[in-house]
Amino acid sequence: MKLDRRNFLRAALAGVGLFGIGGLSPRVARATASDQLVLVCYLSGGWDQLLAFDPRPANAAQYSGNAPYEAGGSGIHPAYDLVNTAWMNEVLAATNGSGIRKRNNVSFGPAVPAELLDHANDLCVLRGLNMSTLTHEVGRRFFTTGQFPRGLQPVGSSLSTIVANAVGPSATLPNLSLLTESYNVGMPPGVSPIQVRDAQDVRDMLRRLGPELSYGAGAINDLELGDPSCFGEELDTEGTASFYRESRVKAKSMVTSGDDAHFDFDVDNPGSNAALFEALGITKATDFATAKGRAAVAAQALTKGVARAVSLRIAEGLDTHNDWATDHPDGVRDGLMTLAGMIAYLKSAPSPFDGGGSAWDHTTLLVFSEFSRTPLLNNREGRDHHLSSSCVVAGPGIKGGQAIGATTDQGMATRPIDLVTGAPKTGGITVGPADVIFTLLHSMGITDVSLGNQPKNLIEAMLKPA
Amino acid sequence: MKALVIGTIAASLLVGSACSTNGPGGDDPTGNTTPIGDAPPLDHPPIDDEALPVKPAAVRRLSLSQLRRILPLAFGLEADGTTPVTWHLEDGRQGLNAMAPTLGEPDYIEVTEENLEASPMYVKFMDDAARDVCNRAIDADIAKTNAAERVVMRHAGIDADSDEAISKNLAYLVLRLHGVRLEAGDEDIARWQGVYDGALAEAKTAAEEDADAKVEAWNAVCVALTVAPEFHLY
Repeated sequence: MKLDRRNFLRAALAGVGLFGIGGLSPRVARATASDQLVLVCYLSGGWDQLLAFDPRPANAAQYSGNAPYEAGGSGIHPAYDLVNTAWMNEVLAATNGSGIRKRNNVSFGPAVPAELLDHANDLCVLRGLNMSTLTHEVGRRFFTTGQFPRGLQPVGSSLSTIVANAVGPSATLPNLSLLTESYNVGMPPGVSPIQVRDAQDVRDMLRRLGPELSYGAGAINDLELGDPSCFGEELDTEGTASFYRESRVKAKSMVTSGDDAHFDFDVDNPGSNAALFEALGITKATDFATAKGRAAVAAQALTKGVARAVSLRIAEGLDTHNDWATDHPDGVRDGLMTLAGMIAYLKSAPSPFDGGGSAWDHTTLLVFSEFSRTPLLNNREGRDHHLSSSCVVAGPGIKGGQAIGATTDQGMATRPIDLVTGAPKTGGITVGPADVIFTLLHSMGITDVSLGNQPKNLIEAMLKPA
Repeated sequence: MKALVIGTIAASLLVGSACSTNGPGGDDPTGNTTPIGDAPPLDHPPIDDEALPVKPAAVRRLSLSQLRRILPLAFGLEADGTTPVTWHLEDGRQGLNAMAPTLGEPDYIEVTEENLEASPMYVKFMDDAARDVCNRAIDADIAKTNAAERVVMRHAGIDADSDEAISKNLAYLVLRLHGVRLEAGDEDIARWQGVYDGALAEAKTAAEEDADAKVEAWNAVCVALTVAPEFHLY
């Protein structure tokens, strides 16, 4: 049989409008069908916030030695001195043992690399988030969707899916997911998350694999764009067959896009990707199978206009209950280094939209983990799951260079805040993932998407003044 | 295929629809009441219409595990006569295994539940799979001398090419791959006939030998049936 590539589908699909913006009012469509990108970064396993975005001075009496463990003690032991790494030693030496560096009066822990501090003006840190769970899947899905799961079952669509739907499915891979969970509930198939692991998977998505159809592609396309069969109608009682048929149109547009060439990564012959690899510290082929490689795919997809929403795992293996000092800090720092590299590259790369600016100018960012880790070391020198966590956000509608919320100086419990100022306030509101997702969507002009199952508050302090 | 069972229920509920006799196992115009597959005995007590469900069970997509079992059943053996047909990548790996993590098959370490959404990603890989398994099945058919053993071109394509034979083979393929029993002249036969005719004309225009053109046309029909939702949903 002939295996020639055929171009019928390209021609046949060229005039096919893909999908409308289902379920959104015209007001929202106008407000968001523009030049927005979203980047969701997930650190898997539960991150230690003393190391990152909610630090305490390790040289203060109440946080060092046995004091944190004594009755009435602070219950917070940063223990930075137990981490014997070059980067930790350097930070401790530069900060007289506190481990804390400040930018815009915001404190950052020692695992936040200098490369990320360079972008501190863009970042909004939210502390003291109530995660409401100590179960990995629940916390992860809560922050992914902004809705609290039913048992372990996710409820609702992911932030990335909601944004991809709002801005429209015209990109080749509107909603790309790299080793993260992502969900589509009730939105068109064109914005369903495309789950991949690495650049190879993306190439596989964007190319036909195996033999080409020698003849008949045009006839098949005509059939598929026509009315369904009688049995096909019967299968469509809940719209499942229609969803399948829409997916088929989208799938064909993906393999005729020609975007696969953007992901032909070769570290020995980087070509136009040299700056991308340099920003992310990619120096060898095996890096492509790591978070650096996923970050390269994410950055490339956003800057080349291949994707409008990307979620990716930038750190893994953080669920360390033993030997915290050796097993945890490097993972957090490496993840944040990858984040810094992505931000730097997005700032240097031109926007994929008309009108100029950098890709970063159009990017809304969310960085989270499912919860944090206990402020005291357990009897195995590890840290367990802790309810109060932090996240980092940024974006065109987000006020950077600030920290919102706080945890208590005894036991790092969540503190309620004033939603307008972001400062801790007795009698204020305790905020969590639902509030963060709701406010992020609001910052992008997506104001009437239901987040379902629990109250959510607009954290006005996160937003740039109108 | 489970589509047969679900489709039977669905067809029985769509009273008055133009399609009501076309679903799998639908009313037999010949009056033949011989049960096909599992069915209650003919002397079962009367069924209370009010107790019947108002609609069939939710339509679902095949899982990867089901696909692993269905592809060899639907497409038979390779030309060597011993290897079950399934999707292979160009590097020789089995496609369903190689793509399992991407397609979200549970590893029970991090992923504990398969996402059975008919997403563009799933459909894209099933399009790749369809072209490969049909290619393999057609190659195997060509090597077989006994028409009854052929999978795709059982009633037409190699030994016969009358309109009647083509129509019979189309109905056979729809039954084999979609679990839907069609009669001669059914409008759904015309759907697949259009694919056959289009591919055949295209192949002849490209100056293919007549026999080769027919094989190419059956390959196109096979792919069209295998990428259809009727194959993947039940």
